[in-house]
Amino acid sequence: MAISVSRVITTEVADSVAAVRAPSLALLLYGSHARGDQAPASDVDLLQLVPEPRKGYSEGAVSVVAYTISQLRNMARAGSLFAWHLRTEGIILDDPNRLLETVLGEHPGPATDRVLGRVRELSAVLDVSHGDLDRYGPRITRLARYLLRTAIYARSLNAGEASFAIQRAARAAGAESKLPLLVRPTDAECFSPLASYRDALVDILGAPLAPNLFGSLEALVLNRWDVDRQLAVMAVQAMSDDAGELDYELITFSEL
Amino acid sequence: MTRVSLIGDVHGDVARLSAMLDIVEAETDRMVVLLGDYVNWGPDPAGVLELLSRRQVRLGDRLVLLEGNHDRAFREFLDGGDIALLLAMGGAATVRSYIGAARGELSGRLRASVPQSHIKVLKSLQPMWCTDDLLALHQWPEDHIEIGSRYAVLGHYPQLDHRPRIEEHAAYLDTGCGSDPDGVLTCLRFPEGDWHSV
Repeated sequence: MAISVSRVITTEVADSVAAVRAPSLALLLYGSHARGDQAPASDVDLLQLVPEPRKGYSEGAVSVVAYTISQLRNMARAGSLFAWHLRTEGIILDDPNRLLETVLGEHPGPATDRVLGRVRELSAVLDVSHGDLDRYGPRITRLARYLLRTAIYARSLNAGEASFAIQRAARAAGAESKLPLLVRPTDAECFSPLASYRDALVDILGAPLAPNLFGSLEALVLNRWDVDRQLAVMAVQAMSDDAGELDYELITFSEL
Repeated sequence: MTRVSLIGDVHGDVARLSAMLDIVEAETDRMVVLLGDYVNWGPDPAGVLELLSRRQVRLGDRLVLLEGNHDRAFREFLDGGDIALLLAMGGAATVRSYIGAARGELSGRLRASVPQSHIKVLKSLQPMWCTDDLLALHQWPEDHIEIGSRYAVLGHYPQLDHRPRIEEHAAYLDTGCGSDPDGVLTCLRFPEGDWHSV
C-alpha cells in the first residue's frame, strides 16, 4: 500500500482539518500538498469519507471532495485514475477504521485505455456546434479542461510516469505544449477558448471527438440519461452551476 | 377520528398508482392523501398526472394531493424556470413522457405539450394537510415546525429496504416506487397503523 503518513505534515495542512465538516469517517490529503510540491497559492486538497452522499465544498484555501464508502469503492474497482491518484500519492490524516486502506486497496491499477475511450465518449458534451456555447461557455470549458487533464494523466501513466504532478505528467505524455491550458485559471474569464481544448484533446486522444447527435445539451441529457448516465450528468453540470438537487450519488461518482 | 389512507412517493409509476388507488378508493369512508413526488425518474410521469387529474374529478374532496420537491421543480419549470434544474432531478423521464426522444431545443416544446389538466393538478397541490391527530407532509421543512401531539407521515426519504419506516411519532413512506427498479408503492392506514404495498 503506497499510502503513508511518513511525510511531515505542514502547519497549513494541520490547520486545514478545521475546515472539515462533520460527520467524517476518514480523511486523506492529496494533490500538491501531499506530494510536497505545492505553490504558495495551492489549495489544500482533502478527500473526506462521509456516511451519506453529499456535495464537496471549499473553505478558504481548503477544498474538500466528499465520497461515501460505496462511491469510492465503485471508483476504485473501475480503475479510476483519480482513485489511483489517491492511493499512490494520498496521505491518510485520519482513518480510525482503516476504511481508506481497505477501499483503495481494491483498486486493480489504473484502467488507462478504458479511461481514454471514456474521455472520447464524454467529449460529446464539448460539441457546441449547435450554439450552446453562448449560454454555457465557461462551464463547458471547465469540463473540457477536466477531460484534457484526465487524458494526459492516462497517457502519462501509459508512458510509465507515476506522478500526478501535472507538469511531469504532461512531459511524460508529450503534451508540454498543452500546459497553459491545464493550470487552474483564477476565474472563468481566464479560460482559453473551448476550441483550444478540443484541439488539444484530439491530439492527445489521436481520434476525433464524439459528436452530440441530439442538437443541444438538454436533448443530450434527455436521450442519454438511461444509456450513459455519466455523460448525461456531465451535460447537466455543463448547463447549471447550481445543479440544485442533483443526486450526489450521481455527480460524485466518476469512473475517470 | 378521521380515517385516512396515506400513499408515498409515486415517481412516474402509473401502473402501481392505479392499482393502489383502486384498492384505497373502495374504502369509501376514508380520506386518501398522497404525499407528493408524482413526476421524475419513473417511466410515465405524464400518465401519473393524467390519472391524478381524473381521480381528482371522481373523488373530489376525498382526495388530497400534497406537493413534493419534484412536483415543485416541474411546476417552476413550466412557469419559466431553467430545464437544467428539472433534468438534474431525474427530469429526463418527465420530459420524455411528454415529447419523446426529442432533439434540439426542448423547453418550449415541453411547455406547449403539457395539457392544461396536468397544470391544474400541479397548481392544486398542497404543502401539507392535517387533522387533530395527523400531519401529512412531503418532507420536513427547513424551519422548525410545530406539530403538537400529531402523528406525522412523510414521503421523500427513500427507504432502501422498500418497507416503510414506522416510528413512534412519525412514519416514512417513500419505498422507492418509480425511483428504484425494485421499489414499491406503499399505503399506510391511519389511525390503524397497518400498511400494504403494490
